[in-house]
Amino acid sequence: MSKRNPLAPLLAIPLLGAGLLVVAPTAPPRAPLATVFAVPLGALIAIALARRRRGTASLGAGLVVGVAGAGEEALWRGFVLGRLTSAVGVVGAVILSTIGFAATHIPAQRLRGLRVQLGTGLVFGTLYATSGSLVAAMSAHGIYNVLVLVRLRGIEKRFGNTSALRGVDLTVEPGEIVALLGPNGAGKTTLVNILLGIRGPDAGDVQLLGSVGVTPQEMSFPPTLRVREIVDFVRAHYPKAGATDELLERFSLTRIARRQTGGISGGQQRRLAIALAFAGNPQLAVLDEPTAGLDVESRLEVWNAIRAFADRGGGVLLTTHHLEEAETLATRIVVLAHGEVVADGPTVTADGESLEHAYLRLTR
Amino acid sequence: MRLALVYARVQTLELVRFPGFTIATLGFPALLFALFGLPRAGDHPEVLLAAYAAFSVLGIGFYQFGVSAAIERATPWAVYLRTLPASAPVRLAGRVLPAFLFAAIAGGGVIVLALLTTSASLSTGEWVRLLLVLFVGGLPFVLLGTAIAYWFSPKTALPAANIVYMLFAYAGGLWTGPSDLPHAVARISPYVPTRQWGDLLWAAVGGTPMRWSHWLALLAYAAIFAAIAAWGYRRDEGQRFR
Repeated sequence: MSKRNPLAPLLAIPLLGAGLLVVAPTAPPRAPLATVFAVPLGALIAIALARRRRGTASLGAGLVVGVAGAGEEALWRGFVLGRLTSAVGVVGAVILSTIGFAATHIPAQRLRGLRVQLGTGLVFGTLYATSGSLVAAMSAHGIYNVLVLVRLRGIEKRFGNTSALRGVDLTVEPGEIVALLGPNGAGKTTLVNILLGIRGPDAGDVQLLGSVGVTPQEMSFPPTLRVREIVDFVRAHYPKAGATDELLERFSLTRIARRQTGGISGGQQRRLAIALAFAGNPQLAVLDEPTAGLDVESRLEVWNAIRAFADRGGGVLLTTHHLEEAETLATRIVVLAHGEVVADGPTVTADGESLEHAYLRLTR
Repeated sequence: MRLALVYARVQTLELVRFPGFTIATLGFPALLFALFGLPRAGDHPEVLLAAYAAFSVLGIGFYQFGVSAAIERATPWAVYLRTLPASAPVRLAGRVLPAFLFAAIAGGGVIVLALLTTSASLSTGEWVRLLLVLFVGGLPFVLLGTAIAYWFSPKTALPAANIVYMLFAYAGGLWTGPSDLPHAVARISPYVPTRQWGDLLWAAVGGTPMRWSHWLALLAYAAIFAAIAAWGYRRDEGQRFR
């Protein structure tokens, strides 16, 4: 699923890579290892790169980005690296082909994404150079691409003269809980809305693979509908939706399942809004300040539900103003300030620094 | 289709649980008939029966599609619905189905009242023709209601719907009958969509042949109103979500 359908141009990459290999075949830099060993090795490397990846993208989109990744390997490793090896040696060829591979991604990802492209290009190039198996490198890159659930590249958004988002890159992988932090007006909700297709970006690409469940920052319900009816209504949109009773139980909504939403408390409405994000058993949950206004007990319940979802291979993108929530829950923290990503990693603190200090340092 | 039925069910439940809305919406055409139709039922009660049943379809189209949808699209719930994987035709069908259900009930009220209080009498064939014209011929007005929903804000949709509703009903001759229209209005009446619809309704209950030109005119109006609605939908997306 993609608002700008960025997947279609990706089909050109495997065609170009395969075409070059057919027209001008190259020899591998070393005698190939048996494919039966090399391919699983490539798969393991892809899994290590994408960390806790489980689950898959939707069939069509997954197929396209998977094939595109494999095609990039055919082009950059099979053709370029193979050609350069005789001239500059294997190490030089790996480095140069990696630089070329990363450079072609700059228009989409800006300089911020260059680090990731250099890293992955180096890993896949090294895999090819050491195993001699192009199939292994193609498999690894294809799997790596499929296992990324969300990819935002170079997102730009302006409101009049105000630049709300400036070249933002963001990915969420299966099993990951990504906390998006930032002060009010930093662009968090705008970014989430662009990801969901509620707003369109002025520039950049959005790839959203697989199904997504959503809890918006602001939510209201038709007041005459019952809690269970709303859950069933949302479940009806998803082919692999979980059981209503189990969902109601998980979010402590069973007792009020038959009540109309106009008669339940604000906290109960918020729990219902969060439950709806998981009602369809999606591959990605996007939660915009999910626990705002919840009491401590409810917040812990929600945290447990989010962790359980990620443990089953779901990806989570959540925005929050609660630093302790990000610290406790997230496997990766992204800090957004003045429309730009100013930090992105498992931790954003320096040695001995509290998250609060790091946050203030990064967002001032 | 299954998802459209789910949308229709939810929309129906949401509305019927507002007694004030349901009673007022369903009872208004019958009230209009009692106040203004009955005193003039005279020799042609079937004509007034058809005209006031048309009011019910017109009212549902304008108010349930126009005003209600304009109010709803400003709510966080409507924004949330856009994140769910459902196509625009499914959402539209989910709104059309309950609207026709409401229109059928409201129109049924007018018909029952007319049968009880006047000498109106129709053959089986005339009933079938009347229902066909009411619901198929009412489609352009459902589309016009949808256009109102996307071109007007929640606060301006109601007065806009009121004005268009009254003008169309009057100029089309549904209110007074075409022969009682003032000269100036009578000259433009044949070009008003409600008049095309009215001519078909009166042919249906009068046992006279229906002219294809009226159907073609309604089809053309349906296409125009659908284009305006689609334009408004895109414009709304541009204003609210870009």
